[in-house]
Amino acid sequence: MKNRLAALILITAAALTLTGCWNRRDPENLALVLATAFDYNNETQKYKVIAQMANPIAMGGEDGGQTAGGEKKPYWTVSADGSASHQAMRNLTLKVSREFFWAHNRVFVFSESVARNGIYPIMDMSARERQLRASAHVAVVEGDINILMESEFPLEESGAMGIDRQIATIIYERSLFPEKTLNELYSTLSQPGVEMFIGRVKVITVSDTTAGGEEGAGTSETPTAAPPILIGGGALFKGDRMVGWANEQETIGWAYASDRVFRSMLYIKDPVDNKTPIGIDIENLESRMHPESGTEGPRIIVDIKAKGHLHDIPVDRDLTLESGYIKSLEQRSAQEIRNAVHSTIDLSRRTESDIIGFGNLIYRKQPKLWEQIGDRWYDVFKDIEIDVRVHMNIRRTGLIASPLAAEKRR
Amino acid sequence: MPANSFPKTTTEKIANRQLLFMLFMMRTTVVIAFLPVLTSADAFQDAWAAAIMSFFGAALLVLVIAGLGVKFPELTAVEYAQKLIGKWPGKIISLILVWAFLVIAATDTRIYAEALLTGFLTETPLPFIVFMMVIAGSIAAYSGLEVIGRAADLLFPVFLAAIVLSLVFALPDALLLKRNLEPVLARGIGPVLRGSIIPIIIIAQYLALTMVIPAANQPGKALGTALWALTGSSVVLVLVSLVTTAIMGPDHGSRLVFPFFSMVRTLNISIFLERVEIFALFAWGFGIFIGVSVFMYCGSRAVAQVLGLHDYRPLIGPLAVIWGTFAEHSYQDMFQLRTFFQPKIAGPYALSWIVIPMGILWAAYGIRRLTGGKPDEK
Repeated sequence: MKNRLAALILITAAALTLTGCWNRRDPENLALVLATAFDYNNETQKYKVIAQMANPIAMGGEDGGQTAGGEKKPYWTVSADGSASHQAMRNLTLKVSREFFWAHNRVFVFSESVARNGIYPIMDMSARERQLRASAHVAVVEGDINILMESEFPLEESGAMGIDRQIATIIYERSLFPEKTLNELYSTLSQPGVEMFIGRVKVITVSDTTAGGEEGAGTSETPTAAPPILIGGGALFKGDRMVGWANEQETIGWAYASDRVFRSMLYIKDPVDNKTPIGIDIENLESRMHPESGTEGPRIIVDIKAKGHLHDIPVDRDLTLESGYIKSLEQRSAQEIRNAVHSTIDLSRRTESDIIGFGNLIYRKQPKLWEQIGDRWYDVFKDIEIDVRVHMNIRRTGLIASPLAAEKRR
Repeated sequence: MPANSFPKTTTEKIANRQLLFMLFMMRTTVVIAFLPVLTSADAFQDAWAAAIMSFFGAALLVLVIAGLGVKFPELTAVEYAQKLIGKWPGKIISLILVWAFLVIAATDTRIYAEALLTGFLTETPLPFIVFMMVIAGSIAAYSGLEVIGRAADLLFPVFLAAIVLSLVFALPDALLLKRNLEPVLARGIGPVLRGSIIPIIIIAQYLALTMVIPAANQPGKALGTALWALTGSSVVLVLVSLVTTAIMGPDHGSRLVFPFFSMVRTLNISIFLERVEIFALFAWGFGIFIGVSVFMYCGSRAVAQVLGLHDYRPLIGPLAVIWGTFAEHSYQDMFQLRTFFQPKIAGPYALSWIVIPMGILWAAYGIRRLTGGKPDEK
């Protein structure tokens, strides 16, 4: 009996203490941050942090949520300044009634000015801080970052969820958004011969939307109904500083060369009339790079194998194997892919930001050579021969084998 | 003094399997906790090679540690040391082992506590976490080796499953970023060797064998068991270093305090399945618990035998206090802990725990053999 009592006391004591919790921090009393934005003011040299928090009162759900939180937005955005990013984050506390909790942060966005000033200080802070997770999506914002953080997504509960979902969708549907997470940025930044390439989020202002005509009554409705942001393209970095923007063509070129395509599409001109746009969906793309030592220094081969299917072919063409029409479509698509990769290479050379990582390729495959040319990589990169070889294979035509004959379509 | 007058404090027996589990968990926990192959030197993307290298170095030291135990299957190191080199010298040598158990148990506990403090329980005082682990370990050690063996039986599947799950979850990301593992062995063998020093000397943990072998039900097999445990642990280490280096990048990875843990934190299996680090943390806690229990058992038994006590259990209380205090005060902060694990500091220090006592005992054993005496009889 005595032993049992002792065991009971011991077990209770162990259960209460072994969790190691020192104090109480109830989840319902925390301010859950969903998205974090960083801005930098060049004049005051201060960081500005904008945090978007979930508002549990309005997010409540079906029962009672309608009446109690009807007028409240399901999220709230607050900003604060500080000389360092973490100081700014701490200064947020002065304005918010609850303790911050950052572990649910899904999106990290940088304004253009903070990106151009160097994002390493923020990366350092976020790697040190235990609550922040390196699995969050990262983006650079073109346009007013404050508008982005306030914007509403008609289909989503909160702005953060909207940005997060939209990024994920763009990655999988169009492959127009480079690099995945904060963690990947670290390994890119720390490796030689490759630069960071972060996706772009463009804030659509009212003037961008072609609402046009009815300025008077319509304006109050337009901003909420219009899509708040456009995602696609990317920001090129040299070291931790942004050096330029890549458009969508240059971004997809990066994805082609870096083997980061989930799905993509091409529009090429019909080889017969050289006018009608033909749509091809790329469903699978593999890319391999390897260096070769040519007669004048190294040469880089980029080998791309793409598979796709016809998507739009509004003209009557002979799609049989014998006609060779598919073959010429394949050649045109291959050329289109090659053009995209070359546009990215040109941009990399112009901005001296080797985002595809040709230097890294040499570092990995020919470390001895890299030791010689690593220091002057961008001089070498200017004239290095890069051979992009593309093999395109159009495998399917969709659910109809051939388009309707022209005379039937009237 | 004839052998049978030494206190036989226990007639406990553990199965060979249990010994294997204990040794496997004890080593795996610590070598993956802060992944010394990656963080302790400049091996970077060749950390996996350092892990393979560490297996051979560690295996050699296991032979040194456990070889004599197999020759004296009935005796602990404290006992056969006194047989081989005399009563008082033997006792003095045994104190080195006691010191090693103390430092290892304290350091393991401290690393675990630091991880919890940095990652989760930022406001919990350090002694609280340390003493919770020490108390749990003490209760296990007080209950005896058989109980620790059964606990190892119970926890091993969970431990292994947690590590395997973490690795499986990490695999897609690791394959995507496998370029981070190149160039392979471009800087020669030097970085690989430097990276393997710390994981090799962590084998000092297996000094526990010198106290545990008499309790194994097949002492003759203990050496093989230890090598199998080391093999399993090395396989895990190689896989973990490959995956972690790929995902975190060689340079960033080598700057992390707890690389494996940070790696698992970045995993995002899907929108509904993230935060899988809980698996890694479970494995860690279980492994440390088994390790610390074994060290407390070995340490208190060694002290009891040095002092000539019949039972080691009364010593556990006082020793636990010393252990906890040591874990708390031997390192003031994370910087000292990291400094300690530099190859040039921990290397010679931990190696001396193995080489000095075992070297002397092997020499004595060899001399007795050569001079024709039977070393296992006085």
